[in-house]
This record gives sequence, structure tokens and C-alpha cells, in this order.
Amino acid sequence: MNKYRQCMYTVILILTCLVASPFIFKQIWDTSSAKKSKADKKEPKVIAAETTAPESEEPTTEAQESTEAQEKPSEEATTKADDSKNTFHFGQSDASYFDYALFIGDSRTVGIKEYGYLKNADYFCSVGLSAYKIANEYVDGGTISDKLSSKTYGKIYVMLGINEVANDTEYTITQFRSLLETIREYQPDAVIYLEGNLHVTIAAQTENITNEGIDALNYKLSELADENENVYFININEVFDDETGSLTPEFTSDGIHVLGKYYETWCDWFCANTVIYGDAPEAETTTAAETTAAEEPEYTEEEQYYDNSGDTYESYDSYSNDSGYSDDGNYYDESESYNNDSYNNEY
Amino acid sequence: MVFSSLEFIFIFLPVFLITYAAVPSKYKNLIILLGSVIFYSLGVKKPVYIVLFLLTNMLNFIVGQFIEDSPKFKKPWLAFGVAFNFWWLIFFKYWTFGTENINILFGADLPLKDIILPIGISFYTFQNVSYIIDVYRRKTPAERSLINYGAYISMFPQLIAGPIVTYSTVAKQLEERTHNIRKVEEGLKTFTIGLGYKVLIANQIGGLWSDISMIGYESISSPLAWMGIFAYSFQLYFDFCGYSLMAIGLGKLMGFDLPRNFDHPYTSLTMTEFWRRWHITLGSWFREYVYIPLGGNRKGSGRLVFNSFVVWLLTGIWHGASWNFIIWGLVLFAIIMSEKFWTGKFFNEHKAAGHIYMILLIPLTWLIFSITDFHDLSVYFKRLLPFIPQKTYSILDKDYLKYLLEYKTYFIAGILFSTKLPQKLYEKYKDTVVCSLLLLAVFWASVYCMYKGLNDPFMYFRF
Repeated sequence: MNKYRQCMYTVILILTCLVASPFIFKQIWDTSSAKKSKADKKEPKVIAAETTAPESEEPTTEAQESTEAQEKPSEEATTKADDSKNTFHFGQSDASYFDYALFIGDSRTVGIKEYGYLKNADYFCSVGLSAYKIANEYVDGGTISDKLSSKTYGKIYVMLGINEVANDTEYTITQFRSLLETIREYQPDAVIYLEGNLHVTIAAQTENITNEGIDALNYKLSELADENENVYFININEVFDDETGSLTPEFTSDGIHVLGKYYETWCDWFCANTVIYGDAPEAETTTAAETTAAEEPEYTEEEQYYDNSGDTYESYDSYSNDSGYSDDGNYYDESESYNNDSYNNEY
Repeated sequence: MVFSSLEFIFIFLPVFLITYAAVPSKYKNLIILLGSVIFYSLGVKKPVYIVLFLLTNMLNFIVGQFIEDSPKFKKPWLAFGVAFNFWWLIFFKYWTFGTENINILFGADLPLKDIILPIGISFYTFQNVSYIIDVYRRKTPAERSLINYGAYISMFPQLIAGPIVTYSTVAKQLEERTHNIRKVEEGLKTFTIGLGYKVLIANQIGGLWSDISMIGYESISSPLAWMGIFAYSFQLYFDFCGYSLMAIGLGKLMGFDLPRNFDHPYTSLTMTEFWRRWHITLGSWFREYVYIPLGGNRKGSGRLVFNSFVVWLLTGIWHGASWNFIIWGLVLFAIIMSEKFWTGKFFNEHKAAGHIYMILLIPLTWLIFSITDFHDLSVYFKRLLPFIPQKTYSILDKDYLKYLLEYKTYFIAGILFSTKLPQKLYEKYKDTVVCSLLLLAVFWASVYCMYKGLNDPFMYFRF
């Protein structure tokens, strides 16, 4: 008996390992083949146009206006004029704009909640959240449906996607569609902002998370915004990108989230980019030439996107320059494992 | 390849152990050598580094024989060997740092090269040097079998992050060692404990340190800043100690008794004692090959201070090529000297005071160790001491409560396993069924974490 005891741990360890080994080998195999197939997978190309580094951390309204000002195509504009999107522009509001706002998002939105100054808004956000997970996720003891039915929101900001950026974009977009449906079910009149996911730094890119992939998803999100009534696409990357179209290393330590002190900048940008119905007021346009264009009622993200490739804008106009649709993401480790799982499940 | 990876535990290790067990005794060292070279090749960034590694070891093997065979020329051979070994270490580890500083100092414009450090070079260099010095001192005869020497240096359990095993401690075991089921049992248990330290404590509590870096040091409250350095201290200890335990456990599976690297350092009363209990094999290396040859404490106080200064300066830069490591080493030097001449006696006599002193001081020294950028370092220090006037940024209200709730389990585990109690209990009950079942739970919990991808690389891997 004593002799048997001497090797008891060895025996039970080996036995349990033998039992578990098929699952473990499958995991090792799946991980390595997922890596491989991801490397083969063709990502939709999005042109990363050069942007001047945003030395001004504050997004300037003027820059924004001038972008709009250059939106040219009047034919397209008229065809879209009967879209339910009425005349609007992005402009400055004060913090009280967010009194009836709800922010939905992943770890990056957690950062906005904790370190930003928009304390009057509501938040439904948790580390690792994604459009795929959100329907069944409990945050602060409630689901997204609970939150949406709790009161009437005027504006709903959604920033999700970094945790699923490795998945098939089309699939992710269907998740976003159903999220939009859920929101509309409870909040038919709210203005919905789909936020482009924030880029990561060059160093933080992995097989699963690349800025190319983020741009591809953001572009799809901008299209999704176009398709839907009262849904607008905004893109934070104009503020935090460097000249390569990646998150500027100075703004971050982990390459994925901006440092606490920059959420103030982010909130400034939220205030400066609120949808305001009606034409942009003259005062805000910067040059005479732009005045006419600013009156141009229609402004879609799509147009802006194409304009970007042209890239003839002035320096601060990183919004248009940057092909940029970036999205906000979540906690990195979790995102990776989650990606692996769902990748395997779905494909 | 790290020990705490599914690939290592479920593919490399079983294949290696089965092969190792299957071959007759005289080929076992050969299997260790081959297995370790494969292990090294899987971890190394550039194939040429494998060649460098093999050539370095072979050269030391030859130099060792020359030193023994030609007593007349043993000094030049030793000098050549030491210079050769350190040349590569300096080149890979300090070249960039050196040129940067020369450029700053003299306004020169020397080109900066982006050099990738060959994995394990800090460790195998020290082992090779200790070997030729020991042969020179006739402490050990030169090894005559290239396979045995190769097996000694490259032995994968200790190859990448120590312990720094000197040749003389394992020379006999290389020739002859016993393999039995008791050793295997002991080895697997030790490996499991190390794995648990690494995956279940270090990696988890390390999350707090990453969270704090993510937030940015400007935006943390003072209590959170203190929690952060405690968390980092636990992370560093359980990471490195866990790695050493895994190495010792793996060594046991092959019949080796590798030296212990940590002896409950956080229970120390003074910094002097702490460094006798932390990374023990590194401390003894410096004592054996630097401090004592310089005269140790036998040439008067002045010389003792100077010798200690050299040792701590070298200890600092061994840990990394950056100014903060040098500062860190010098701070340790200052603390240890003040203990030697002034405070040490008091803290050894008043245990409570000693513990409080260490609990506050050790995390502060790790802070210097962890933050390479001086601006960030000064920001963090100011956050620790809120009464110093400083620019403040938005801070999450009661952020420390949020993180305390999130990490409380790991803090409790960290404190508990820093004491001597768990080891005492383990020694007493290690042959019981309960102990085996507990360890089994630790093993599978760790594997589950790795399976879920919650693992991250060893902090000491940059060495």
C-alpha cells in the first residue's frame, strides 16, 4: 500500500492526461490551423491614406466642416435626398447633450465611462463584450434589453467589434444588424451612433487583430449606418491615429486602449461630433469656397470614404484622409480566445 | 516554447520523457542534449543563434580541457574563455544601450543596430564562465565528454531562465544518477506547484499591473498605486519562482537534483536577507566569481563597500540594459550597506519592524526595476506619495475598491504562498491522497487557463 502511495500522483496524473489528451490535442491543432487559415484568408483591402499626425489632440470642428464642405457630388446628394436622413451635419454640443445618452461597448467604452467626463450618460459596457455576445450578456445585473427598456434614450452610441474583428466581417455585421433591431425595438426614435473601432498600434497587431481588419469592419459599419434610418457612423481614429493609420504609440501603453488621461480628448470629440439637424451654419465653415458645399444637404459616410482615397485635404482633416473606420475593442486576451472559439464554431 | 504551454506539457514533454526512459543509461545524456537543442530551436528567433549557442558551448568545453592539460598557459586560456563568453553577452545585450549613451555623451552619431537577444544567453554565459573558472581553480576536473558537457549546459529545464546551475554541483550526477519512481513522483509534484504559481497566481495577479499600465500612471489613485506595486511584486515572485520550481521538477524527472532558487524571500527581515533568498543561484554566482575574488570582506571596510558596489552594479545591469536597472542595483547597494553598518541589527532584533520595513521597501525597489522610463517612474512615485504636489488627471472614484474586489483572491493567495506555511504543510502531507488530489486540481486548473488562452509569457524571458 505504501509503495502504491509513493507513485499515486504520477498514476492519476497520467490517467487523467490520457483521458483529456484528445481534447487538448484538438485545441492545439485548432489553434495552429486557425492561425494558418487566418494568414491565408484574404482581408478586404482598404487604402490607408496618409494622414498628418494629429498634433492637435482636439478634433477641430473646422476640420470636420471642411470635410463636409468638400463633399461634392450633387447628383448623388439629390438621389439620397429622399432618404429619411434629413439634412444634418456634425457639430458641437455641450455635455448636456449626453443627458439621455447610452453608451454600449467593450473595454474601450469602459474607459470612456470611467475616465471620461460624460458622467451624465448611461453605460452598458463590459470588458470583452462583442456584438456576438451582447444579446446574452449581463452587465451590472441586467441584459441589454433590460437597459434599453429602462428609459427613453435620445442617443445611443455603439462601439463594438474589436473582439470579433478576426471573424468573418459579414457574420459580424449580421450580429450588428440584430443589435440594431433590438435597439430599435425599444428605442424607435433614438439617434444611433455606430462608432468605428479604434485602431491598435502597429506593435499590438496580431494574426487576429490588424488595422486592416479593423478598417474593413469599420467600413462595413459605415455602410450599415447608411442603410438604416437615423443611424450615423463616426470614427474616433481621426483623433488618435498616427501617419501610418495606426493608434499613435504615445497615447497608449498596451497598444489597444488609450491612456486614462486621453479619454477627456475622446469626450471632447464626442461633443464636437454630434448630429445636428439642418445645414451647417455659415459661421462654422472655414473658407468661402466651402460655403456652397457646406450647404450640400447630403453627407454620407460612403461618400466620405471614397473621397478619402482621393486624399487631397488639409492637414487636420484626418477623418477624410484616413480610410479609417476603426472600431473600439475590448480586452485583448479575452478577445483572442474568444475569437478562436467563435472562429471554430462558426466556420 | 514555455513550460506553461499546452504544446510543451502535452507534446514535447511526453515525447521527450518516453524517449528518455526507453534508451539505455549511457545514451540518456545524449537524449537530453538532442531534446534540449530541439527545445532551444523552437524558442529561438534566428536560426544562427542555435549555431552560436552550440559553438559557444563547444569552445568552452575545449577551453576547459586546455586549462587542465597545459597548466603553463592556463591563465591566457582562462582569459580568452572569459573574454569570449562575455563578448557575446555584451554584444547582444548591451551594444545598443552602449552606443545610445555614447551618442548622447559625445554627440556622436554611431549607427544603432536593432539586436535581438538570443534567448537564455544571460544564463548559459554565466554557466560556461563558472565552468572554466572552476576548472582553472581545480575545483572540478574538466569534463571529457562533449555529450555530457552539452547536456549540462543545454539541459532544457534550466536553459532559458535558470536556476544558474554550476558545473560542479551536477558533475557527479552527469556521470551517474538514479532514476526511480519516487523521484518521478516528486518531480511531477514540484512541476505542478511551479505551474500553479505561474499560471494561477502570477499570470492572474499580473493582470492588475497591466490594468494600471493601460490606465496610465497619471490616472490612478494612491491606494491603487500601492496595490499595483504589491501586485507586481507577487507577479514577479510567483512567475520566477514558479519557473524555477518547474525547472527543478523537470530535473527530477531526469534524475537531477537542481539547486533551489528561492527560499521564501518575502519573509525576510532585511534586504540583505532578501537577496540571500531571492534568485539564490545568481547571488551565489556573483559571490563566488566576483565578490570573493575581489577580496570580499577580508580587506577592510573600504574594500568591502567597493566590492559590494561592483557586485550590485553588475547585478543591476545583468537584469537589463537600461539605466533604471543600474539605478535599481545602486539603490540595493545603498540599502544593503546601510543595513550592514547601521540598521541591520535593529531589524533583525525587532522582527515586526523588519517585516514592515521589507513589506514597504521591496515593492518600491521592484518599481524601479519595472519601469524603464524615468518620467513614468517619477509620475508613479508621486502617485504613491499624494502629498507631493503634482498635476492631476481624471481618476476613477474608488478605483482601488474596484480592483481590490477583482483581485482579492489572488492577493490572498499571494500573501499565503509567500509565507512558509504552505511548504511546511506540503512536506508533512505530501504523500497523502488529499495532497495528490489537490495537486491534480491545481494541474488541471492551470491547464484549463492555458486552454482558454489566459496565459502569457514569462516575464523573465527577455533574458
